[in-house]
Amino acid sequence: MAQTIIVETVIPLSAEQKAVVSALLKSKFGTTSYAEKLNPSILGGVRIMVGSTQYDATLAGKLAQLRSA
Amino acid sequence: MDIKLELILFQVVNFGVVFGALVYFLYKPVVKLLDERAKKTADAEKAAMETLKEREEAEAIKTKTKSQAEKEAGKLLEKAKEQSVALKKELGAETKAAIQAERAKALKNWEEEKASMIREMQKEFAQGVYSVAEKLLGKAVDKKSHAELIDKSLKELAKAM
Repeated sequence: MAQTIIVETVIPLSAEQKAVVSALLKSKFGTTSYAEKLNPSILGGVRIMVGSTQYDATLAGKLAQLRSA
Repeated sequence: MDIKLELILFQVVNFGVVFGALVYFLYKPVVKLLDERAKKTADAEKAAMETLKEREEAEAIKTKTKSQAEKEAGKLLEKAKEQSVALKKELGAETKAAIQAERAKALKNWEEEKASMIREMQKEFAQGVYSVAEKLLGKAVDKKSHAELIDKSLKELAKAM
C-alpha cells in the first residue's frame, strides 16, 4: 500500500520547487505523488510527512528545537 | 702406816659408782643439752642467713623490677606522647580536609545555583526572543524570502532524508 505524502509550506511551491520535491521523493520513496498543503503556522521552510514520519525543515521546527535545547 | 685393802677397794668401788652415776645422770644430759643448743643455734644461724639471702634476692628482684617498670613506663609514656602527637596531626589534617571539602561543596553548590540561575535567565530571555521572532516571521517575511527558505529547506531535507 502506497504511503500518503504531504508537503507543507507557507506559500505554494513554484514549478521548479515541485520538480525538486518530486525528484527527492522519487529517489527516497520511489514515488512522485504527493499532496501540497499550505500551513502558515510553520512560519517558513518545508515539512514533508510520509505516513507517520515527518521530515521537518521549517522555521517553526527550528525555533521549537532551540526552545527545547 | 696401816693400809687396809678392803677400805681401798671400798673407796675405789665407791668412786666408780659415783663416777658412773655422774657420767650417766649429769655428764651425758649436759652434753646432749649442749649439742642440741649448738644445733639449734646453728639452725637459727642458717635460717637467718637464708632469710638474709632471700631478702637480698628479693631486694635485687625489687630493684630490677622497679628499674624495668620505670623503663617500661618511660617507653609507654614516650609511645603515648608520639601517638598523641600523631593523633593531633591526623585530627588537624582531617579537620583541614573536612573544612576544605565543605568549602568545595559550598563553592560547587553556589556554582551550580549560579549556573542554574543563568540557565533560567537565558531560557526566559530566549523564550521572549523566540516569541518575538515567531510574531515577526509570521508577519514580516515576504514571498521571495519564503521561496528562498523553501529552496534552502529542500536542500536540507535532501541531505537529511
